[in-house]
Amino acid sequence: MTVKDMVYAALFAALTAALGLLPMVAVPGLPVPIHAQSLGVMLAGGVLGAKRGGLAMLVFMALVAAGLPLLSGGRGGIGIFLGPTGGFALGYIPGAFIAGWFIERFWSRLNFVTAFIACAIGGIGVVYLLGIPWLGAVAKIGLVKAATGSMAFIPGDLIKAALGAIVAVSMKKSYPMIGK
Amino acid sequence: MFEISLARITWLHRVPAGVKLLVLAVAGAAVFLVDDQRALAGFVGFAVLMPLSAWLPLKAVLKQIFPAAILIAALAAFHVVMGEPETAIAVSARLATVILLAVTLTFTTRVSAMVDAIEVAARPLKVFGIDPAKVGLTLSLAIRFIPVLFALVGEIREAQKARGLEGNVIAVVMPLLVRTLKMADDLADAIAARGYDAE
Repeated sequence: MTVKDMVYAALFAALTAALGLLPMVAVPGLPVPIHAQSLGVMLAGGVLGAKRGGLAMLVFMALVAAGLPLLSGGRGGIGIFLGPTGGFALGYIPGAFIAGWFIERFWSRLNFVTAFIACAIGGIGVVYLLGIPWLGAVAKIGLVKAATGSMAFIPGDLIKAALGAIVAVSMKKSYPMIGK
Repeated sequence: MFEISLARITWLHRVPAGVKLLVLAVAGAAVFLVDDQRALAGFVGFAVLMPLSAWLPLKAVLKQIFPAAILIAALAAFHVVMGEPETAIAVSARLATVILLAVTLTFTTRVSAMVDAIEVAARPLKVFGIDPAKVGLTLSLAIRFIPVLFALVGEIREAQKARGLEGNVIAVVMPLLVRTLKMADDLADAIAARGYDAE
């Protein structure tokens, strides 16, 4: 871990906390409003790459667990990771790493489509891969019901992946971080 | 610094963070292993007694556990509708135990004590070449910069409002990212210039 790794992870974790200040966006036709903070996973991976992006989410989640009220609505504490939706919160860490890993692979030909795929695999696929079995096991409702219940969040997450992709592509032009 | 833990000292504040984390881990694991309803009732009783014994403020506690409570109620209702009231009781008792103990820990432990506990827990990672002191420094840096980033978000939102872009997420996120990364570059240079050796 170099000084740069530490500093980027720390400041990006603080940035994710600050995203919690932005108001919720209600999208017509969506059952749940989108919150800018959960965009943090895709931004961390999409802008910083695998290692630093994953570290940034790890730092952010460690601060939440340590008792800072950083999650939207001023929530925090170790209980976030132990409740029925704890798997989703934990999934943000490998989610950012995997999104960043794909961004690095696609780097030389990064466009909206490849960036969207990276954000969707990491920020949705990996997060749900941990969140759904956790919910199913802890709540004793089984995998299928847990997956069905989580589907309400998919449309909002797809919009977030699109936003993440737009930002990742623009950031590559204005302030490229991969390989730095 | 703003944090969830109470400003006043309770008896649980005096218990070391490591001990509280251990109790939470053991109780949290045990409650998922027992099926007996009397044992589950014992766990719930313990988990209710802890926040009561420290006189935690009800309103602040409810604010923290509200989303989890709604979800637990919905899950219990689901199991009752499926004709399994016993599963409903077991699931809600387990989750309530874990959530209540966790929120008690959060309300009675300073963030600084938790960061110290994380640093101690990171000690075995030395084997993998991860320096626990670096873990502590990274967390402290992040805590230090949260108010800076909060101010930055406010500033950028003001500026974009003047341009009629306050509802545009990307118009806020892009300058926020660029300025954060610029700040990170300067900070990394400043740390390096002081001879901090991360390797």
